[in-house]
Amino acid sequence: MIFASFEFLFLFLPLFFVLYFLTPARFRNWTILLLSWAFYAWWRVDFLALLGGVTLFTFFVALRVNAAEEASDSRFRWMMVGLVGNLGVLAYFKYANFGVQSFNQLVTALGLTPTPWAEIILPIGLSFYVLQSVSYLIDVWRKDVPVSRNFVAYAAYKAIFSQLIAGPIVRYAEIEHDLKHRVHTWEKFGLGARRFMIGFCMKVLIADTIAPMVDVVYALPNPSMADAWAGAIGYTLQLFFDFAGYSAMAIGLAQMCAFRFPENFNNPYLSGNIQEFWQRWHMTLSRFLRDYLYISLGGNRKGPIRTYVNLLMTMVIGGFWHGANWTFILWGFWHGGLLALHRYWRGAGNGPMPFILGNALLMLAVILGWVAFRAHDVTSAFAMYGAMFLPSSIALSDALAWQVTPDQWWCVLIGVVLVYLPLLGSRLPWQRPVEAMGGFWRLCWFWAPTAGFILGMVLLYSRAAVPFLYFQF
Amino acid sequence: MIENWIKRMATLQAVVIIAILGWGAWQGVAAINSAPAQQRLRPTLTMEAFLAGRFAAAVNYVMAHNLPVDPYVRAAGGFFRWRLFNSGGPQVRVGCNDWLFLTEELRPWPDAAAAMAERVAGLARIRERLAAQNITLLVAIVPDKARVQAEQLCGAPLSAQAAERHAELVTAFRAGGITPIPLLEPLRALAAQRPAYWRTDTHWNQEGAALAATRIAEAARGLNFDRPGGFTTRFAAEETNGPGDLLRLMGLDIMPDGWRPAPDRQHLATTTAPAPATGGLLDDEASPQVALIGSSYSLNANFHGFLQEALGAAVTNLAQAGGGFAGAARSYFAGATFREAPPRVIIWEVLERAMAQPVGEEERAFLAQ
Repeated sequence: MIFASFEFLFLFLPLFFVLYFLTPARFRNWTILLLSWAFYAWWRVDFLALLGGVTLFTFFVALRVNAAEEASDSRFRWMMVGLVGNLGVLAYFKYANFGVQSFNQLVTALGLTPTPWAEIILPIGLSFYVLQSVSYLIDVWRKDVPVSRNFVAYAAYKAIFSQLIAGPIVRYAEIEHDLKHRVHTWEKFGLGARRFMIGFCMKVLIADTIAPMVDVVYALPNPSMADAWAGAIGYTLQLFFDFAGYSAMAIGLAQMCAFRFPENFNNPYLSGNIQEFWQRWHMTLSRFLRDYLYISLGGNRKGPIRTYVNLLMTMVIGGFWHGANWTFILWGFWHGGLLALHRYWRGAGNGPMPFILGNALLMLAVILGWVAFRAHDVTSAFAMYGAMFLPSSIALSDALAWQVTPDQWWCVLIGVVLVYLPLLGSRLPWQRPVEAMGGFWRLCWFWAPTAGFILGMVLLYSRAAVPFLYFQF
Repeated sequence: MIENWIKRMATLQAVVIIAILGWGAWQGVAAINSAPAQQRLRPTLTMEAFLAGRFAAAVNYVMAHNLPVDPYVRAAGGFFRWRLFNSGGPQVRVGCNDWLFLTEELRPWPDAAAAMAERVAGLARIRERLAAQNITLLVAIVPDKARVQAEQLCGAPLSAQAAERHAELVTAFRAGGITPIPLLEPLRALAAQRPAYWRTDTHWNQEGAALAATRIAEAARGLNFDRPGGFTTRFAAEETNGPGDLLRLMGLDIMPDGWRPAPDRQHLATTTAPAPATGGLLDDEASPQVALIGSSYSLNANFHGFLQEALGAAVTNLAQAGGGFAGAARSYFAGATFREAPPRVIIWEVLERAMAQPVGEEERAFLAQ
């Protein structure tokens, strides 16, 4: 079930809220848990066992970690058991196909018989709930968070449907208090609904409108220069509005249930350099990589060369986490390299570039990175790069032109405008603090998302639904 | 002060979202309880179907197609795309002055030349076989609306392949020894003065159909079949809406006129055959000696009636809407009508845009016979 679907909006969500608010307060985590599991099982019932297994395993291992003496070998060993168990599950489901395929390619090239192998299906959301487990185990080991002794509360934290399948990656510490003591108010419910509707508009009105054009470009055998740039820019916008929209919906739904989730996006395309970009893009993943990987590798404490290597390794691992494909590794190298280059540049005493130049260079780099991220394989990615910079033809090809509708072109333009509009800051009446807005803009600020939500439902119904891009990761 | 305002608005927002979700729940439950939904859901109400995800897929389908509000939401979506972005959705391109074009006419097709050559070769073989049975085959190419009314495209992206298609098709026909009846230039000449096709429908209008019928009749002038005459066409006194299939594809068929491209208007033409000159109860009526096979163009805008009037002869109309190039021919040549009462002349109306489309397996087998 996806948020932008009518079975979610018209069946699951009303049922959830009715049951949730009818449940006595002390049993509401039960309602969250059971209905979130039902939400998850909607696609594949059997994968619910995996989610339940990972939850149970991590819960008990964390209790063992907590029970062991501080700084003892046993404490570390139990934490490692938890990490290996979780990462082992992730590795099996996410990378076994890739590993066997790569191995078989090698042995076939050597003239040997490949190993027979049945493809494994990746359970949706596995990457996210494994990262949650990892952060929880490490936080308990570091004593950054008290261990949970309430299985239902812990399982509800892992399973809560609003973040289960595509994040944001919520740390246990962030909602531990809310799991025990939530205060429901009409205000939280209404503001959460508003946030949900903003996210819905971002996804359905912008991202989903652009999606068919992007799909066409990435399926073209010989894109022209205009095709390739249209597809690359289109995907850059689609991914942002899709994922940031999903995060806003998740945060809004959580707020409707009186949870406070961390923010995941902060105008990332308005960054002036690559470091700032990663502070603003998929913020919960960035801080996960920083806190549990980069710092664990030594961070910037072991000299400049090691810092560059750590940056590169962190981003390559981050890339590989997105999927078992050489394109993600290429994307990780690209971003790791850019981060290292930025650190070198700053280390050499250079100040920040003027925003326009810095942002233009950043966006070029980001767009090129997303090409590898989106392409089916490395060959296709380089075919796109070739079309972007060494094209055999310039103009929009017939193969694309007939498939792109005017609303798709307009949404690309609107997407670009929406990305850069915040630069105007408080000159825009709706970007001022609510107190400083005029009455009309204040009403618009409040009710425009509702109008957009209704329009979004109309468009969603009158065309095919597009799944969330981050489901595949 | 402002905190209180936000609190009030947020509370109102909460009430509004609850109302929307409540209305949605009513829609969802009504959709599931509808007869078509029950029909779809019933086979999936087993544990095996549930575990395989078929129940979820069925519910998904029902929620996307069977909401009571379905036609209104689709119309609203179409209206929004058209009014705000001048977009007709994936199947329709909007030209200027409310002219609409089927995207299928504008797009390039993979291996179009090979598909056209295969169809022309098959048609040439069929023509030879018919000639051996003393049946004359006349072929008329119906040009695309985007070609005849090209001035109205106004930037709608006509692919290079589509632009060249008609000329290439005529060349292919000539290479196959077939001279198609030329309809493009007469229709263009008509379009220079007044529309030859509907604005809001993909087909030719009554004037275009009448002109095409006249040209086909001229091409059939020397052929041997009975022409008793007596066909008369009358136009309805009252003006009514034209077919408007493109409005339907845009989801605007139920919209009021002010909220969509205005539908075409017509005085509906009806052609009547002369009363049979029979004297007795059991007199046999002679079968028509001319058969018409082709696409929906033969079924629209009274083309069949105009053709009978222009030929002065009854015509058996065996055209198939959606049959593409060979759908009608396949059925006709395999059927009893052709076997038991073969005609003297067959008019095969060939739709230009269908000729470049990939050849399906059934069609390939038919053409290879």
